[in-house]
Amino acid sequence: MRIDRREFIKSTAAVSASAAFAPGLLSMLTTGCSTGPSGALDEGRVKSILEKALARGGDFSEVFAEEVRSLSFEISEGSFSQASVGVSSGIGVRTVEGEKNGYAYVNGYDYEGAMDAAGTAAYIASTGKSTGVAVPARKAAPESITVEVPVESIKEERKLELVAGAEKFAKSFSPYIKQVDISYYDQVQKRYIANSDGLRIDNEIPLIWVVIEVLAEKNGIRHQGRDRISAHQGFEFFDTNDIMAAARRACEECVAMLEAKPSPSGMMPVVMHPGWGGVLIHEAVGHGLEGDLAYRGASVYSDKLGRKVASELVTMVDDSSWPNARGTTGFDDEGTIGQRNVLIEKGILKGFMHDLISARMMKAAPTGNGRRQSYRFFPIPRMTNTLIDPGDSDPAGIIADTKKGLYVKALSGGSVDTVSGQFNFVVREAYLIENGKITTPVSGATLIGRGIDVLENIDAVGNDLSLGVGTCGKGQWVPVTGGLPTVRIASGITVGGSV
Amino acid sequence: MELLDRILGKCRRAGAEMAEVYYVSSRSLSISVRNGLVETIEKSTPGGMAIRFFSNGRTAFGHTTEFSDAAIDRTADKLSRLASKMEKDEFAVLPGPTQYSKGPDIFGDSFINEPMETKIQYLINLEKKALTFDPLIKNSQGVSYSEHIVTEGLANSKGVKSDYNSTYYRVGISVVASKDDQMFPGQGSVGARYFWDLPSPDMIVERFASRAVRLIGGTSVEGGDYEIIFAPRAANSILWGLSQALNGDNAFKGASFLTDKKGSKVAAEILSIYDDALMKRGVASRPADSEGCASRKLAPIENGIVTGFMYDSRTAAKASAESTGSCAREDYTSYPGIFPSNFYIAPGTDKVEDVIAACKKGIIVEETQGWGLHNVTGQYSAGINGTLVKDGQRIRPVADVTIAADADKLLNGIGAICDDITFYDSFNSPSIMVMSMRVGA
Repeated sequence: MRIDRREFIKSTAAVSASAAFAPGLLSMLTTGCSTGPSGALDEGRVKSILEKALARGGDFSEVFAEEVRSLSFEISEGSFSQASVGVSSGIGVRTVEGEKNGYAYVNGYDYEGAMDAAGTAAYIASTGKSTGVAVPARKAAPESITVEVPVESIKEERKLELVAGAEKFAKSFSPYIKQVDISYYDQVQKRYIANSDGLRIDNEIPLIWVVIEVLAEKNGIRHQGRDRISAHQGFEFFDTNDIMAAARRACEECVAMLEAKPSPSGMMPVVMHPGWGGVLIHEAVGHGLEGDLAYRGASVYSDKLGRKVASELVTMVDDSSWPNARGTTGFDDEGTIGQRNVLIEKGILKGFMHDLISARMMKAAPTGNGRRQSYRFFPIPRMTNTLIDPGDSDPAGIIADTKKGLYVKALSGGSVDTVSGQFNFVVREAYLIENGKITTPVSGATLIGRGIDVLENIDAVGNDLSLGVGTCGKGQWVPVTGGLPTVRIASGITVGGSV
Repeated sequence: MELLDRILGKCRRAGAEMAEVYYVSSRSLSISVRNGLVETIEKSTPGGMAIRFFSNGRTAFGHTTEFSDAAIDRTADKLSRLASKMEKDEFAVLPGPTQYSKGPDIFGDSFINEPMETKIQYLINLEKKALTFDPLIKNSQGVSYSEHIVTEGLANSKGVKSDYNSTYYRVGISVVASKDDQMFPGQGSVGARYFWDLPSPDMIVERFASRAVRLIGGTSVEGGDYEIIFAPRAANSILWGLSQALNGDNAFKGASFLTDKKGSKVAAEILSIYDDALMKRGVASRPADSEGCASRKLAPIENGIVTGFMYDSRTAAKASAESTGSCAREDYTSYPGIFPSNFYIAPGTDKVEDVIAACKKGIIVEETQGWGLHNVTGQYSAGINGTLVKDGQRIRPVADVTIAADADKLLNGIGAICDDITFYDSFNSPSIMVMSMRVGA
């Protein structure tokens, strides 16, 4: 819908006048103290904001209120430093018309500010038509995120002790370990979502995130090893996720890699270790299945629904309801309840990941993938826990059955260009496979390929699925997991080594 | 400023012997247009405050969006408690007051005050130019405009006071070239302090859309050693790793392949790296760094020799060096760390067309994927898109290959540095030629 010119001139005047200068700190001081997002906004105020956001028409309007309280610290060079506490709260208001988003937010639970934001958001609409604000109906949040021991109930001493223990362990692991950095982060996020269709939903979810980085050095050769553990869970997380085991994995990686030879280059079979190797499908395929790229024709998968896009061994899933996982949402940031979405079933493309807008644009049901980094962003389709379902093969058998290739145990991360389908990963820990055996460690490789080639060439899928944790950036950051059993990609991946 | 003093007072009452308050408040507008229609309008007022609290040699950091007196008292108490749980940090220092040089001219023009209609028309026009640039360009993923007006303030208990305003504009395009059943993106953005310093719409389109037209349909080449000509944007894959390797904290911890290399020759003599926080109208210029040290122009690598590392006050104290004014924050929520400002490879005098004409067997690399130069191991590896060159002639687009080399071969192998640098980002480079890298295919 083309925006009427005269309308534009009229309503821009007010907007640009207030944009002239940054607000002084004093005006920010009026923000009151916090009582939580749902406490700060009563139903009458929510209705007023939603109505104002529809003043010029629109399909729906939405209020997203959020409060995040965080604690973090780091042990580095043997002592604790960088202890940090944070509070961040605000309200975002959105008006949606067709595929258009009008968005504005205010810091703190500032009702007047939220009304201003609604006025700005409303500006995107131009039809003058809306169905108005429906009678509110509270929706219950699912219980995919559970808390036994709230993180905020645990004394800082206990958290510090936990980290100090892991640091001590890592330091004594090998004389080659020169540096150990461990950062601990926890937060509690309160969310409240209301929209003009009557949706009301809120919850409170914790997040724990521990990153262990160790640096080993021997004869001038350096390598950095890393492991990370994370979940949306209470402090009982550490009962089943051993921080010592994580420290050991980081140490084993970097000590092993001290003996690494330069990586070979060229195309060769690649066997992926389970876990964060899941970033392979996250980048190579996942982003191309996000609804916003698909409906804009900016994905190689845009026109492939119902067609074969992968080996029939591949069933790929995005599951935002996986209990307590780092990518789990309970409900997404538009209030759609999380679920297990099968994207590719036995090689056939079954569906995309949608937010409310992309679902409507592609005439599909919302899938609970509308996510945002915080109240400062409007939601877009994002992955949650993205994985390949386990297959039947014995992982040891997959390796034994590989004559020559590369065994990739750890990846730093990767990225993809969804338009061309070209992806890359940076390898941290890898070994040659020679005559069915894992042999020499090799370093310095980048893996490249195109998503469709990779999926079509998966010729073995192990029975050992596990999830690896990470953070995905697409203009805004969200916590995710990537899950993979041991898989072999027979061809389609080029290894970028220096020999 | 009065307010910052008040907050410092609250910290003192909560037991701080030293404290620092940083705040940022801003107004931003972003607009995107796709297929001639406005797709998003986003208006925001990002802002918040950060406090560093020092007591008994122990430090804690806090950030908040809550500014009432009661909330600040609560934060100060929390920081006092948290600091007491930390260990003594003998390097915990704050800089004292200093003279700041005249600002680098970062509070730009008043395009921000133009009506929204002007900005939307600008985008509609820009997208139209992009879509008609070449018959291969068939799809737009949108064009975008954003403007920011920012106030930053800093005060510490040793008397540092810094306070400045800035503006920032960014314009981006994203189009798709299609040929047979292949697609290739032409996307990117340019930033400036003054709107009128941005390239013209025609130049923006030329910069990004032409790349899609040149690179679409790329195929692999035979593996082996090739001369590599990095186009300016692709050279960022070297610059990022260098900035991390020249970070004084990484160097001190040994997490840099340049640790122990101060005073040594690590690169060809024609390579100099500058970090200029005072660059006039520079997109990353700042009169003072994020803890109030005066900005300056650094040359961490000069004529191939490492002259020194980049430091903030704490790391400088650890390494018995001086702060280089390199303290920065990603935003108010992040702990201050070391980060460069306008970081670039000093341009040379070569013309890129001459370098290409002299190339026997090489690849002009325009896009890289992956890490590039790794700051710890010093190994360079990346996937690339580019153009194959033989006997001085551009032959065809290249894709699905990797390039790799170790730091010694890469940096000492730089054979030419061209004059074609621009400064629309915080990391910038001219085209540079590396005599030989391994191509994996």
